[in-house]
Order: sequence, then structure tokens, then C-alpha cells
Amino acid sequence: MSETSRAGLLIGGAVLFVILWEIRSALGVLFRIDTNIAVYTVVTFVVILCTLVALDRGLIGFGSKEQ
Amino acid sequence: MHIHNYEKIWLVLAMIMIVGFLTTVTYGATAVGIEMISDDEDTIDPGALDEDPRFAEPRVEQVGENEYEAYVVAQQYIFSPDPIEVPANSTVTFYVTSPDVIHGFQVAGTNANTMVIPGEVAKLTVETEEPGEHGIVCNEYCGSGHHVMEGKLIIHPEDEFEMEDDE
Amino acid sequence: MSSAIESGEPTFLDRFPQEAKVVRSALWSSFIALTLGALFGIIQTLHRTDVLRVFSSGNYYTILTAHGVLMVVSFTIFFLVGIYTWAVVRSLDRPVEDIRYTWTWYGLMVLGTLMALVAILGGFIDAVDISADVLFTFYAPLQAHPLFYGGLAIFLIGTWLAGADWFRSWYAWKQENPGERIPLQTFMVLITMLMWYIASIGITIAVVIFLLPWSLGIIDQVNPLLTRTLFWFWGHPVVYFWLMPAYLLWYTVLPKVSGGRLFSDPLARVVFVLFLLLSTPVGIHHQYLDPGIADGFKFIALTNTMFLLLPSLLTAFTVVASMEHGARQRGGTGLLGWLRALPWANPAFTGMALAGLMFAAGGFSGMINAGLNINYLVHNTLWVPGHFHLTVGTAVALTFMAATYWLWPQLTNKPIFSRPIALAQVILWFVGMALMSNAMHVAGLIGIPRRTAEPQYDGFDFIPTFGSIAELDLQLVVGGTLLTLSAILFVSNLVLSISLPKVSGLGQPLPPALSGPDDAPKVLDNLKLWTAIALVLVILAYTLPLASIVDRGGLFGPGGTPYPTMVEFGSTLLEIYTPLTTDCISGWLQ
Repeated sequence: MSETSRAGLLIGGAVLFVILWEIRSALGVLFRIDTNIAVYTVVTFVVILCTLVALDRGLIGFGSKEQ
Repeated sequence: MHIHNYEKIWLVLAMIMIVGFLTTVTYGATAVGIEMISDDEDTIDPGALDEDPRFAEPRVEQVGENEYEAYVVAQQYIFSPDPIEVPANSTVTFYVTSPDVIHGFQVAGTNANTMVIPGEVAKLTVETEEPGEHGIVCNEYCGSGHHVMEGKLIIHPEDEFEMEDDE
Repeated sequence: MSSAIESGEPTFLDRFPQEAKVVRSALWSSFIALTLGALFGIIQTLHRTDVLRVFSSGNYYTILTAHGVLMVVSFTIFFLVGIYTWAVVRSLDRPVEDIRYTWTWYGLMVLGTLMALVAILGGFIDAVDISADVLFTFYAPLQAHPLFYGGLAIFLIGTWLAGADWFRSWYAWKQENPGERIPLQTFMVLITMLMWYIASIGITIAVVIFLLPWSLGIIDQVNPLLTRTLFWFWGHPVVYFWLMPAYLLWYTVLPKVSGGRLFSDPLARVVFVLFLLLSTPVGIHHQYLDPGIADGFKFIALTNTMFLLLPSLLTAFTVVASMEHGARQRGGTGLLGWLRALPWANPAFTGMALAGLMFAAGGFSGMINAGLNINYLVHNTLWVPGHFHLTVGTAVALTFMAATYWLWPQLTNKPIFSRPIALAQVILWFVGMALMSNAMHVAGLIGIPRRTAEPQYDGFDFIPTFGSIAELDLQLVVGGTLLTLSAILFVSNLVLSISLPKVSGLGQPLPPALSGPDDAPKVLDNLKLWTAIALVLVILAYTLPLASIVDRGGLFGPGGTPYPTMVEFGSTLLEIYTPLTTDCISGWLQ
């Protein structure tokens, strides 16, 4: 796959990590839901990995298969 | 000047959001009744606090039924009085000043928070609810010992609270 | 190197070698400040969280002062003068009027910085009675050595002279190009400097009339509330002094690296004019909890501040629209699919895009700060540094670093040493900052204060609503470490680039906007009009509050002593001043 797409996946993964991490504190501050930090971190990485693999394989995506 | 339609929509949404923010603040100021620290109190000479009847002896005083006033002095690196003791379910007005540098006064984790500026008296009114103990943090840098500056606010159950007889 | 970089055009260095040298010098000054500031930053992170305390907690405040000044005065403003020199020379397509004058103002900025640094770092050396443990805000009655105030003053004068330099260039260009619209980059530079001149009024009065004479013993007391208010008169617009160069880059460079063109030149001008008008009359929003300032004035500051959201929201639209245009030029399709076509492998693009994304979060946390009665909960807690590390710490800093990757080859005729490392660097900064800032916001909400060496108290514990304090500390340390690593990667990459041979073909022309300056109403270029309105707004916002403060407490305050009072400054012409040192105070704390 192109260099742009590889970089894009990496960056998308980083952004997704930040979003998921912010959700943890939103849950904690707004709803007082406590989540175990170790478990949450592991689950976050698993989710990111699956998302990136799925995007890479075209299982999910923004529509047209890319160039 | 050509403005794209999407941009016009975006602009309208932005204005609505801004008005929304202003509304929440106005709600807090009016319906909930939160007052901002203001300039109600006269200035004071920081070098002559002992000439002011409030701060010569930092203390809590009862001024009405369920109404109290707390005269607090923040200085390098303590709060006086320490602890500040008040009853639950009452209205407490803090008067806070400093003889030396700028300090902060915050009941940790709450919105009872004010700057303490030498020469000025900060007036802050709070409603106490549950009994409990709270830390008081100096949250403005005030010198090399700033990090040890802490106090305590003890909210006693109403029936257990007794003013010292010292009118 | 990817062929996307090479376009065969002469570079800025080829066309304007003398100016390129000034720009490079300014940028090196900026990056040296960044490196030193980053070193102090990680020391603070490890100290606060009690992971590693190499210095005493008393020295922490010396470190904190240095970190603040280096990062938000030196790093940011040296970068600004560099990038603005580049922008003016490039957009007017003419060299500066007098290169010696240019070097002079740069030299003044360096001199001022060194003076202030000597004063600050003197705080580490007990044997010498020079210190400036007053933090970036230097609130009286805390007092610094005169070198600190003097250094700041000289630095500021340097920046004013820089502005004059760019106005000179513009006037000269105007004579030769009558009736033409001001080129966009020059317009942005001039508007920024007009804002800066207005903003400088407050801090100049504070330093020149009060604080510097006071530190020299010429006057023996100052009004703390007055000097504080004069500081914040400048202290809010300075954040726009940091932001506007970043906006200049987002508006004029980012569309190009996205593969397209700026969506709208006129709207970019509108945004900058709005900043000129609104940046200064809002300073009291930093003083919502100050006694001695009437709540009415605070409410006025609130409404002005809320409208300051507008230019940033406008920017968000234009920047994203320009990126989308670029993506579609590169072949992107679909409602969101065009995102995939953006040049993510280009660190200049990715850095600026991530910086813009993070700015959205920072803007919203800023709105919380601005929310008058909402501010009670967050004032002076760790939330506030959480906010500004997103804004100046990322939107500005990361944009500056990303733009450097794009601009540096054009200033040196050498490529960046390693593009993959540059890409890793910007991603590390984004992730590190997200972690650190997130922890700061959460910590602030439970009451953990900012600006303190040891947020661990004897008499009580902070009560988190989820997780634990230890987790928050861990997040701070991990985030801070990633940031430090990122800063090291950034500077190393540039240093290593020095070793590369020069090549040609690194020129990067900037395409014109889709909607050009001729679509902009002429009134936008009427700098005098906007300056006049800006001054009126400042007068309206500040005359009554300042008059009230002076009326209530006097020009020199109702009383008070400086802390620490300065040991005799040496000159027999000055009044002998009773020396009090802080030895007795700091002694029992070590």
C-alpha cells in the first residue's frame, strides 16, 4: 500500500487512541464510572489494532477502495 | 465578498453556541445565584492588619441564624484560623486578606475559590451542606514555601457545633 | 526524498540570502529555548509527581520560572520574528530595507533574553543574590532582580523594532505598487504587530513605571492589584501573539502542503482583524476571582471573550475546507473518504493537522475558563496548564515544528535529515500531550493546584472520581516523557541536517487563494480604521477598572513590602534599602 496510506493508518491509530483515552476520563468525571486502567489500556490497544487491520484489509472504510 | 453557503451555516451555528455559553453563565449568575468576587470591601493596609477588628484575630463569628462570617488571613505559609470550623446547612461568608504576597484560597475540589491580594479583602459566600472535613489549598505561588501552605475547613453537624463564647 | 518536495524553484535562501540568515538565527534561538525549556519541563513533571526530586522544592520555582519564560516568551516569539521576516520578504518579494537594522532588533531580543535568563538561573546559585523566582507572571509583591525586568523590557523593545522593520518594508512596497491589496502574509504580519503594540501598553506601564524602579529601590511599594491588572492587559493578547503566526501558517502554508489552495483570502483577513479588535479588551477574564475588581467589569470581559471564539471557529472552517480542497486535488473522493488522500506521510502536513485537531479541544477547555462563575472550579488548578499545553503547547508549538520541516530546506538548501523521524516526532508530541493534558484537566477538577512543587498535602487527600492519584501521576509522567523525547527528536533532526550537502530544487512556491484578495472588501485593508476601533474597545474595557483600582488603593498601593527584597543594588545614587533575604524562610524548608 502507498506510503501515504501507511502513515495515515498510523496517525489514525494515534488519534483513535487519544479519543478512546478521553472517553475513559469523560466516563469517570461525568458519570463517575471507574474503569481499571490496565484493562482499559489493553482493550484500547486491541480495539485500535482491530480497526487498523480492518481498514487496511478494506473490511471497513470510507467507501471506495483506494488508489 | 463571497461567503460559501456551508460557511454561512457554520457561522450561524457558531453564534448559537456562543450565545448558548453566555446563557449558561447567566443562568449560573441569576437562577443559581452565584456571585463573583467583587470590590464590595474597602482596601486595607497589609502592614496594619492588626488594626482591623476582623483580622487582628482571625476567627469565625455568628452573625445571624445559620449565618456566619469567617475572617481569614492567608500569609506565608499558613492560613489563620486553622482549622476553620463552621456548621453544616448554613451560609458562611469568608473575608480573606494577606499581609504579604498574593495567595490563593480554595476549598479543595470545590468552587469555593478566590485570589487573596494584599491590600484587598476577598469576600466569598458559600452554603455549607454536609458535615465533613475539607482541605484548603493555597493555589497561587507565594514563595519558596508555597507547597506546604494548606489549611482545613471542618464542617460540623449543626447540633454539634458550638461557637466559643467570645463575643 | 519524495519527489513531492522538489519543484525546481529557487529557494528563499537563493533569492534572499541575507534575510535567510536572520530567519535561521531567529529559529535557532527559538529552538535552543525550546530544548532548555523541555529539559526543565521533564524535571518539573518528575518532581511534582514525586517520582524523582533532583532539586529542592524551593528550586522548583526557579525551574518553573525558567520553563515558562523560555517556552512562552523565548521559543514562541523568536519563532514569530523569524517566520514573519520570511513572510514579509517573501510576500512583498523584496529584501528588508536595512539588514543592519534587522540584525539590531534581533540582537536586542537576544540581549534581553540573556539578561532575564541570568536573573532567573541566578536563583540556583545561593552565593549570588540574583534571582527571579517570580514565575512567568511575576506578580508583585514577589520581586525579581532588576535584570529580569530590564531583560524583559529590552526583549519587548526588540519586538517593537521588528514590527517597525516590517512596516517599513510595506511602506516602501506601497510606493512602488500603489492601489494594490496588501499581500495576505504581510497583512497578517502587520495586523499582528498592531495588536502587539496595543497589548504592550499594559506591561510597559507595569514594568517601566512600577516594577523596574521598585526592584531598583527607587520606589518602595507598588499596588499589587494594579500591576497584576496591567500584566493581564498584555497577558491575554500575548497568547494571540503566539497563535497568529500559527494561523498564518495554517492559512498560507497548510493548504499548499495539503495539495491545494487556501479556500478564502478575504475571510482570513476578517479573522485577523477580529483578533486585532478583540484580543486585548478581555484580559480581566484572567482575574475573575480577584477582589477589588467589580463584577460588572468581569462580565464585560466575559462577553468579549465569548466573541473571541468566532475568529477561531471561522479558522476551523476555512482550514478544513482548504485541506479538503487539497485532498480532492490529490484524487480523494467521498463525503469523508477524501481524508485518506491527504499527505499523511508528510510531517509538515500531519503536524499541522494534528495541532489543529488538538486546538479544538484546547479552545473548549478555554471556554470553560472563560465562563465567569464556572471559572471558580478550575482557577489556579492543574486544569489551567492542561488547557494551555493544548493551545500554546500544541496548536502553536507543534505547528511551529511542523512548519519548520517545510521551511527549513528553503532556508538552508538542505533536506531534513530524516523524514520518518520527523513524522514519528509529531505523532509522539500529539499522543504525549494528549495524555499529559488529559491528566492535568482531570487533576484540576478534583482540586489539585498548579504552580506547586509538591501537590501532596499532610492534612487531607484529593478525592478522584475514578481511578487514583497514582494513575493520574503515571499519566503525567508518561505524557511528559513522550513530549521530552519528541522535543529531542525535533532538534536532533535539524542539527543532523547541518551535515547534509546542499542541493538545489527545494523551492516551494505558495499558490494564490481560491477566493483572492480582490474579493475582499477594501475596508479590510484599512489598518488605521481597525487600529482606532481596537483602541476604543481597549479604552472601554480598561479605563474604568484601572481608574477604580487606583482610586481605591492608590497608584502605589495601600501598603506592603516586596518579597524577596533585593539586597543593595550597589549604586550609591539609589536609596539604601533595608535588606531582607529569604534565607530565614527558605532555610527551614530544605
